[in-house]
Amino acid sequence: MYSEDAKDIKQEESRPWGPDSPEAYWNETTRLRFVSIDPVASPKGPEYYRDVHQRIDNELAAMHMAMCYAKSRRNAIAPISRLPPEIMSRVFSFCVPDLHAYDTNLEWIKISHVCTRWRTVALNSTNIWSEVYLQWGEEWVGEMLARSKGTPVDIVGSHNAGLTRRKVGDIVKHLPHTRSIEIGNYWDRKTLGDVNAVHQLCLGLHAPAPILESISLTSHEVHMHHPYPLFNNSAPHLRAIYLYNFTGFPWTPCFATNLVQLDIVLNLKFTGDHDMPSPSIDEVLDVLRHSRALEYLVLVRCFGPIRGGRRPGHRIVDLPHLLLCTLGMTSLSDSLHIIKHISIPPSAELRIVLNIDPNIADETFGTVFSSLSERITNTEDMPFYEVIVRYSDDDEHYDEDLEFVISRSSDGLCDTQTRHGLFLSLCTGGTNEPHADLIKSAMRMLPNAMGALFHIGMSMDRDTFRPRTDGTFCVQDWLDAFGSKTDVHTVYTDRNDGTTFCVALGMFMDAEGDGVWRFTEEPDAPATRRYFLPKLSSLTLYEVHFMETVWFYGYELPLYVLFVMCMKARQRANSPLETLHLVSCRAPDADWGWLKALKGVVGSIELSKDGDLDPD
Amino acid sequence: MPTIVSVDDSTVPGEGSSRLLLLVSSDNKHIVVEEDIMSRSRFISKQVEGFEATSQRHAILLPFSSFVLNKVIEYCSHYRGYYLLEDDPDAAPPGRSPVREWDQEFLDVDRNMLLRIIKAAHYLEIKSLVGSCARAIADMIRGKTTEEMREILGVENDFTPEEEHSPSSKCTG
Repeated sequence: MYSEDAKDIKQEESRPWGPDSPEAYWNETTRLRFVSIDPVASPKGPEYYRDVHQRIDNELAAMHMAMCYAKSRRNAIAPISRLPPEIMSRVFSFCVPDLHAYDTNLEWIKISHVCTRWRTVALNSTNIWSEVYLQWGEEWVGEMLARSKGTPVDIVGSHNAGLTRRKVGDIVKHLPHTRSIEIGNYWDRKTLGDVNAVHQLCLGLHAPAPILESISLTSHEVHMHHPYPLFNNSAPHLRAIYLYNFTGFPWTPCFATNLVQLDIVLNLKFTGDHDMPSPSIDEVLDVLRHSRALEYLVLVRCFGPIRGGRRPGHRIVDLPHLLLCTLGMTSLSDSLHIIKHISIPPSAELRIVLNIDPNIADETFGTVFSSLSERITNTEDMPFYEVIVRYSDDDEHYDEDLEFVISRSSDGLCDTQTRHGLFLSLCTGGTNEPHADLIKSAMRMLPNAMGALFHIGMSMDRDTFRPRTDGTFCVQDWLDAFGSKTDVHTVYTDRNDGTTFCVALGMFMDAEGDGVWRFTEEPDAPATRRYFLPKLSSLTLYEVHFMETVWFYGYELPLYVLFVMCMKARQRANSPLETLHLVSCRAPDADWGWLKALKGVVGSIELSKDGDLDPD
Repeated sequence: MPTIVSVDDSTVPGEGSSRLLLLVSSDNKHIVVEEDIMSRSRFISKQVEGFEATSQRHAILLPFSSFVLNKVIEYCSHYRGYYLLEDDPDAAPPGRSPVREWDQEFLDVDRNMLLRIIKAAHYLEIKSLVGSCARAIADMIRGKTTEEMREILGVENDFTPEEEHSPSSKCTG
């Protein structure tokens, strides 16, 4: 049983507290301990004074230690010190930045500099020393690994890791209790700097890694020429392998047993590079054959040219637990060729990613798009339901590229609803999208495919509406392509894309210079122009948060805004929205009156059970 | 271990679906609370299991004040019926889960109160509350200098010169 403050301790425990005043303490206790000297009354020789001098120095040192001890005792009764070590350890764990936030600041280390107890607790909290950034100096990398005292460690080194021989030595030394290694960050797109050190590291990692669960090796400039003897073919708990432009991995089935995720990605610029030997399809298929637990498989441009039909003598690789398979070979036929060798469960999501040469003409692009569209529409048993066509002029930054997605189903978007038909998803990079012609071209190529549409990932501001003179994409282009379609009756939008329903309902967001976002009608449009889909009968909002304030991308907005938009839509179309689906929507600060008002302007409101909106 | 005193059923109704518990704080305040609310506390759950084994119901004496106890009850009431991963004894040890907005407001109290709540939560074995309090304390000291940390949490530098200049404290990133 503990009590709540120092007063309670004093009352409950019987202790000799010593004299009540400093003067009494000095006279009764401390003063008696000091060496008594009187050089005038009894002069002595030099040896005596040297001896006394030394004794006084000792007294001073002892007093300093006494001061520290007294402070320790005072610390011991401070409220924070009465927390058990395991709680203090938990507090410290929250002071350590998350490993994957790539916050390499070491300021948090000061927790071990506060007092002796904090240092003791911190040094015994092995978990707070178990996340090691290679960006740190050599001393700290070694110190952290030592302080982890054999607990599982995660090692991360992104760009500028400064991978020196000493760091490499420390990593290799602690391999037996290393849980994960991430060398190089895919999104950094930067090299680790010291090519030889990376090479040395890979050579050094030849000992068994008994608890290693994940390894991620990324190179953006460094070519890994040879398979390295990693982990002496012994990493029995390896569950995830991520290799980005790293071709030096030894493709042996011994790593496959518990594998859950396998990513092998080669950048476009390395494709066909004969100095950078890719794994053969046979090697990878052999690994996959032993990866019965695999759930995620990503193979992008990782093989050389693939020829012919099914490889002779090869049995189909069965991956019964596969959830997602992304294939991005240099041609559609290559991707389809891989599919022939893998048995993918019907429930798995299969994505085919195609990179289109940036210099191709619109006609070529349109041909590809049209061809895909036709195949998906006409082939019921098409083995995939989503095709991503990535128009890339810079493979290093493909996340900023224009991306088209064609899918047969929007299951992935709204789990609670299954829709069929062909959907087009446009993900654009914002108002300065330089691919307006391509977008328009793609739209023309899908004249009859627009049973529904969703996800126009476009930031919306006043400028977005104005026609462009520089060929960039604007809302008017979108309207030209979609707004005039009379058969668009359903719009989906997810939390990252509130703008879609803004357009659908004829409203947009604008900041009037004061930084506050408002929903308004288009200010400069002639009265005859309508940003509205005349046959829109169903609107689905997915994961929108109804808040008091408006957030730029629209996934946080007040309910009254939705009400106003729906009401205006009704006035314009002279018919209400038949159904408003609110899927996984939440309203922590909502004014419920507006939800009731919404019921008056739409036919019905359907709520998914996983949101927190009250159906009543 | 808390002191346990016997109570009769007229003091603590124990029948029906909403059984009640009698909690007694260190300042001798008697607080009746639904058992269901306090089920988040592993300590209370174990006590209740003990009651069921002996077919006797008791008041549970707790070593913290009614003020602190009421705060804990407020927390448990708020999350009544909620599944919180941290409180699942079968779940993996809690990591650094995202902060819950309500918890932030709930723990917007002075330092001493926060420390009392975390001790009470630890005693009652409410891991989610311990985690939230620990995060709140960490927030108080994050980004602060060593001296500021000492000042905020009322501790002094008690290192000897040798300890202060030990090799491990000289390491710099």
